Amino acid sequence: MTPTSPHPITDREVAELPVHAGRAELLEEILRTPVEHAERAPLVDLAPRHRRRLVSVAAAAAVVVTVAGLAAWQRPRSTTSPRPDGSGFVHRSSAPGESHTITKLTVRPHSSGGPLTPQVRVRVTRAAPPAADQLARTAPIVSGGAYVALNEDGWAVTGLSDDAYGRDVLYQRGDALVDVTTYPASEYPSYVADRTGDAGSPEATTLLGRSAGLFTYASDDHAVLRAPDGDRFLEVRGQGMSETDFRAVLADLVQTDEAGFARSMPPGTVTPYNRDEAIQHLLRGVETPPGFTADQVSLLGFNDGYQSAARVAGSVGCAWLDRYADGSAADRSAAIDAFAGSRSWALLRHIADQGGYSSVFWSVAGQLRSGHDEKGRPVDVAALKHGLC
Amino acid sequence: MSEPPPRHQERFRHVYAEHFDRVLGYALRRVARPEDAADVVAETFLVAWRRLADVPDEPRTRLWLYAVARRVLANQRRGDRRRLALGERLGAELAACAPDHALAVVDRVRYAAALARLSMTDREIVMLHAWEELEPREIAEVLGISAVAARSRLSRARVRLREALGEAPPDDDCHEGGLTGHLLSRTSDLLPEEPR
Repeated sequence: MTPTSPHPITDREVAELPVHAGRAELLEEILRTPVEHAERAPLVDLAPRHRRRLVSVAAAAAVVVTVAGLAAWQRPRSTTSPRPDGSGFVHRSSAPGESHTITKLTVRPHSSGGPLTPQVRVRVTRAAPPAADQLARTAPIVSGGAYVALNEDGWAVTGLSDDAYGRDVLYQRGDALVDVTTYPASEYPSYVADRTGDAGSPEATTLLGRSAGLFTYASDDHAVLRAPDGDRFLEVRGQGMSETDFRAVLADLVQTDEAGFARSMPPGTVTPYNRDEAIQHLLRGVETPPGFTADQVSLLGFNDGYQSAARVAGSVGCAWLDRYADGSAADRSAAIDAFAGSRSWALLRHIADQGGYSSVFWSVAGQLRSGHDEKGRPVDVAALKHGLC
Repeated sequence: MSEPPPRHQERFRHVYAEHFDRVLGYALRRVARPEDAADVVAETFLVAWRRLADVPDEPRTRLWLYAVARRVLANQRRGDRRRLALGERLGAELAACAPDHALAVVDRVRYAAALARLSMTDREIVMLHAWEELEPREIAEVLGISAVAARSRLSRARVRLREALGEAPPDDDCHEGGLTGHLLSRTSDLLPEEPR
């Protein structure tokens, strides 16, 4: 057997790609970009075309990342320009009243255990301004509590996801964003090294009574890594605000407990307290495999409506994929029919305009029916499950 | 705002022509979807266009571009997945024609898992060495660290990667044909002998 090269693609192969038109067009686009624009005023927009494009991709992956099921790829409508030194990007909000898109991407190990397969989770949040029912509420302070909430008026929760790896809360107020994320403590050294590589050595500070490091990516872009507390550590990132304002936000973070955190989240949040009821609600009209129960739904902790719907749909979809892979001809046929019928599932229709998950899910039906993916390769059920579960 | 002088354009065209494939290759080897590489390429060359005076002459040009591309990718991974309105056609072409290597081979998931156990910097050091074929002194320039540190970290990263893959030392025999041999061979390729 001849070993397959581990190189994902070689430079020679790259040179042979038929991308001549795109290559030439990009060159001309760059040459039309004013040079002084960036050199003298790096915070300006690039006047992008306002567009929003959903990309349907079931489970594309690269050598270090696998796109997770909740991935929703969108081109933002927001205006963004890179800093001249490549150290970051400057985000400018769209016109007043016009929505814009924020996309978040993190690398996480696969939640199903086994090898540490990194995944990319992309959150798409559209909010400008956030709806009144997205506003966070005051959380009761619980000393040493394992949950962290932002206790300041006017912040909306525009993204919330939770799993065994960690919890991620995205707060938004106007153009300002605060992202509060927890990670496994074992990952702390790696994160410190990574942030240091990008932003330089951190400035020592404290956060919620523990030592922390403040990283400055730009004058309006900062992050704090808090030393591990038990088996978790905390990262808070503030964008669209000065260091002074960011420090003020940090001072408004409080520790609370699970019940307090649940009370601080806006209506519509799926919590450990309403999980079963929410799952039953989301499963209405969904065709599930025989014997499927709510216990098979992978939905942990706190999740916003989008994430909850995607995870419930993903659990059902992957149960069908198992039948497709391991069952009889009748099971395979039933699985194909179920995916084909998923276009009428309320939970997928409801989130279809919020991100790309629904389109990813719906694309599976065609692949199962034809036996080939979008590039003509035989259907890889394991890869599909990576994309949906 | 004035037009850049012709010499500025001329030099940028040269840099673009000489290094487009390498920057695209660097990006394709690291992004989740081929079309995402278009954003990395667009942003990297836009930085070069705007900071052309800072772009070093050959043979360091490529290293400077890798360093910028690395920061662009880091920002994407950290959450700044903000798209430029550039390179749309390139993205569409890549989506249509660039091979999706990652899903084709189950072994690659094993590599991904093993690489993921490294710190992000060590992972990048391994990839720069194995895929971009950079020497430690060149890796040092891309990452902004000393050559001594780059050599030391490369050596350490290779050991850790072998440990993560459960691989025997490279001098051991590889068994052709079976899964183990397949992995070993691939791993050895990923971990070329460190230059002395």
